[in-house]
Amino acid sequence: MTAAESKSPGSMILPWLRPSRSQPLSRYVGIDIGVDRANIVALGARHCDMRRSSQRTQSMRWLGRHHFSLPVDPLADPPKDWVDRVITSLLDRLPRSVDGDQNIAAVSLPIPWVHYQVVPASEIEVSRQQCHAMFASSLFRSQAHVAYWPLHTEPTRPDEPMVIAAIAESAAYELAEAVSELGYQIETILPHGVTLIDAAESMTGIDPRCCVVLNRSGGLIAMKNQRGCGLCRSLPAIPKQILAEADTLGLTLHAIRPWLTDIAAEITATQRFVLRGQATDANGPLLLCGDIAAVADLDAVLATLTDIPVAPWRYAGKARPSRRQIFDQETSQANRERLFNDSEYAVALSLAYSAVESMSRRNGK
Amino acid sequence: MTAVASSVQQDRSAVDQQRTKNPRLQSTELLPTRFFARRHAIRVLATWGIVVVSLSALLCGVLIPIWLRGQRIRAGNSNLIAQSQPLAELRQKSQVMQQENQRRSKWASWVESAKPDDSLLQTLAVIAAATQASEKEIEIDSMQIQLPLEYPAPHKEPPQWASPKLLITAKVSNELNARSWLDRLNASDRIDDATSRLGARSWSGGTVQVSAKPVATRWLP
Repeated sequence: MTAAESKSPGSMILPWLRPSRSQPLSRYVGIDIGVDRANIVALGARHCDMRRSSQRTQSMRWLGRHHFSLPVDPLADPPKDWVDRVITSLLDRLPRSVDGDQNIAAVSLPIPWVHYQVVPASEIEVSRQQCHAMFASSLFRSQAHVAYWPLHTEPTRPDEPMVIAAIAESAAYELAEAVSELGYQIETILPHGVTLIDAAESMTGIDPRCCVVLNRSGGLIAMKNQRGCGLCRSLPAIPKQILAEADTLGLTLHAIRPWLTDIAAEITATQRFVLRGQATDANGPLLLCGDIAAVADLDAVLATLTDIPVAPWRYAGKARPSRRQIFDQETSQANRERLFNDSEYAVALSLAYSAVESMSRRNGK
Repeated sequence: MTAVASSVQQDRSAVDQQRTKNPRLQSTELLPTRFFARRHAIRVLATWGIVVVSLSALLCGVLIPIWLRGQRIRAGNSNLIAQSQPLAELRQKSQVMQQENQRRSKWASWVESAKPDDSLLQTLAVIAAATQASEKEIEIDSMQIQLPLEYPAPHKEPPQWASPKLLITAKVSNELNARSWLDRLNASDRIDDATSRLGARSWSGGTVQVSAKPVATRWLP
């Protein structure tokens, strides 16, 4: 552990996490654990400004970002000790919190770990049992922990469809233990869709109709309804041979075009499914994030394919890290684009925002 | 421990109740309830631990001075005992000696009382010795010897009947003889204060009366 510290991936973020005496910010950390990469974002918010939500958003500062790779090969089959590997590398490489500091953390699990399903509200218990059986026979070998929310607005009939997100309970528990062992006060573990939709307007200034995460290791689409997050679905990952070829050249739009067509079809199908029987039509753009979103012109192609306006996920708050580099004369245009590109950190930022929200909700009570 | 367990149980049962009552209640929380329950339990345990530790610290703070004081008193007492031991020994020894002394003195008194008292004889012997030098000139008519007697404690001075008394009436041919006889009587250590008084007749063989105090070895009972 000390070796990892001396290698100091964590020390990059620690100066950002440390409080300055003039600005007593409390830190809210979003830890987005992916398949082969973990993104960590620290937001700062003052306790005194937590009362009103407008002030809260105003006073939030993006203090730091950090990422490290996880020892899992997304091309290979899922390893048997996946959970252990993730926990060990978290223990090794997650930035240490400074003693005495309060770091409130929200965590999200890798997308393949979460099982999404839509069931009628009356059948939640049945599907909970099914999830127990499924996770017990999977590599997690544990009970399932189920979260659920209505697909549309408040359900009125007992057979109103509900969205279920299920994870392995022991994996979530062990992960939470590991993270809290490092000095974080872990507040919540959220499904990606919920946190993305909740945080979208505050963090990007855009009120989206849906959020799409496109990662090399899998994707996710989350629709928005009147109350927040609606339908969540996993999207198919990029075929392995495309990824294997792209390892040397980098992903090109041309190479992923066939897969992108599939994704576009999935998105339109999902939207059609959600809007079925609904009086109102969806409006607002599609927010695109994830590491594939950085591929040039992907948003334009996706917009053409889906016939929905596409907006890249971009942080719209006041303060962001590495400001100096962005406005430096010597930074090239491409570098500037890269520094402004927040799509990889979208989930982590949303999680940090969710941590702020949940904390203020608890303080308000 | 039971308090912790019951509170956790309560939390969990409350959550379960909520879920069963309203299955449509949404929950987007993926963090297991177990984690919250454990955190809560740890917090409760820590609180109770602090309470218990502080209480026991208080107890120790009270008990230790008491114990120390007891120890000090015990040490002082043992010190006293150690120091007074020679004294006690001495006292015991002196008691033994006293008893021995008493016993011995009793023996001595027994021996003493067993010895016959010869004070009277001694006095007579002294008078006889004094008279022997001028036996022809002195003719003792009468002799009265009273040895000192025991008298009751209240009297400071020995009363008349108890004081020693020696009265001799003798016929002496001349004064010179009488005086030398008196001197010889006084010289002996058995008779004190021998004085003479002349009788009615003149010194051609007159009567002389000698009064003195005989010395006895002890009081006669």
